[in-house]
Amino acid sequence: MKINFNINGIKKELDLPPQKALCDVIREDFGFTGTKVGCREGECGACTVLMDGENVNSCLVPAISADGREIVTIEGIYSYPEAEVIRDKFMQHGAVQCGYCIPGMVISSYALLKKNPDPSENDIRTGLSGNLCRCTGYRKIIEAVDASAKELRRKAEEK
Amino acid sequence: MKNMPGYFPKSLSEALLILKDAKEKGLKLKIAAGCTDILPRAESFPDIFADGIIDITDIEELKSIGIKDGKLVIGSCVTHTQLAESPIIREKAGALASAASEIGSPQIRNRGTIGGNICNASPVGDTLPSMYVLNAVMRIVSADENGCIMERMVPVKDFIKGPGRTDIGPYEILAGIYAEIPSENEIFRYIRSSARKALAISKSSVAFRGIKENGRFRSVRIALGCVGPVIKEGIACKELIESGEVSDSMADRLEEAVAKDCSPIDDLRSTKEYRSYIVSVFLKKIIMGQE
Repeated sequence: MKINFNINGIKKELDLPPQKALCDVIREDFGFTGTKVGCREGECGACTVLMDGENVNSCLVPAISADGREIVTIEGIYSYPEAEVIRDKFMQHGAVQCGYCIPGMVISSYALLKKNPDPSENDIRTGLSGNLCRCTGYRKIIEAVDASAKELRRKAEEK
Repeated sequence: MKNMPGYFPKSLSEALLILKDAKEKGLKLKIAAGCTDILPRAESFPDIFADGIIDITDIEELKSIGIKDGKLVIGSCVTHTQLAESPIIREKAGALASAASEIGSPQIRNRGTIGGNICNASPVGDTLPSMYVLNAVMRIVSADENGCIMERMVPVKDFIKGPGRTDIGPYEILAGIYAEIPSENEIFRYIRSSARKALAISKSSVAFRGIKENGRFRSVRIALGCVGPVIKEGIACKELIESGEVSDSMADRLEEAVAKDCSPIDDLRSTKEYRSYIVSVFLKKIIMGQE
């Protein structure tokens, strides 16, 4: 069936099975391979993308449910200045090891900070509770998100 | 992957006409709201979609939370994030907001809906125990052969028929939920036990509602999750708790009452002994005001 996609601002009408997972549409039909696929059951969060501004597991979204919605992946999120700050803080704090979870981590961090610009450590842990990382032990990721929040607030005050 | 029809209606009447049409053609569509369970399940059960899929998640009129005639009215496509953050739910039925806030992860809560959680009819569903103690009534809608909208109301305990089984027909939609609002002097709590905070299915859960006056409880309602094929009502627990003043000896007898009310099983998540025990601990904490 024909479905209208809008992924990172690229609009395409594709003829696909409605139950095809959005993560596969993103990777196979749009070539955005920054979105990683881990568990295919919503546990690991590696496939996290923004759908109409909210972070969702793209492995759980049937293609039909993305019809007409705005999808943003790790490739698209850097058009937002906030995401650049998050990327820089992840780098500065050594929050990335193997990197497989990072696209999802960055998307969830962005969604969290959009909603809550001044999160406590507990808020950060809850905000990232749908993203698993098997390398870092989370400490450096949490520090990076905390530093991103501070930097974004500083920038907002400057304005 | 099999190509099949898919529908993404934007209004309830559009959805009902799609279903009416499917009924006339003898087609069976999988109705989904939130879809967080459907793709993983399709890995093991590819026939889950039957002849097609209809995603009702985007129907705006099923996404509101309000109060009507003294009852909470919750649209079936309200997400867990919406429930957890709604000022109305937090103020009027805080335990339901906290139940919703503990489901899955932020990503799952952004998509998963209360209607989907209820229609899954899982004994481990985190919104269900609260539905039982709030005497929730399900509003089920369908279109008749003339396209007129039909409506029926079913109390939650008649709606849930068994694990994964509900009273809803293949061409009907759960449109909304009407739930009682606990009065201001009422205690309403939901507690669950799970291996970790996020992305863990409950081992046991308790929803409790009751009025405490002069050290005694009255109008108690208890629903126990994960301790049977469906949510269990805590009848022996209610009798015990209403029998006199709250005391240590009452608390000590809770385990016995829990054993009368439910017969949990061992499975990959927990054991029957732990499940019964932790339910009695939760009830004890609630009646003693320790949580």
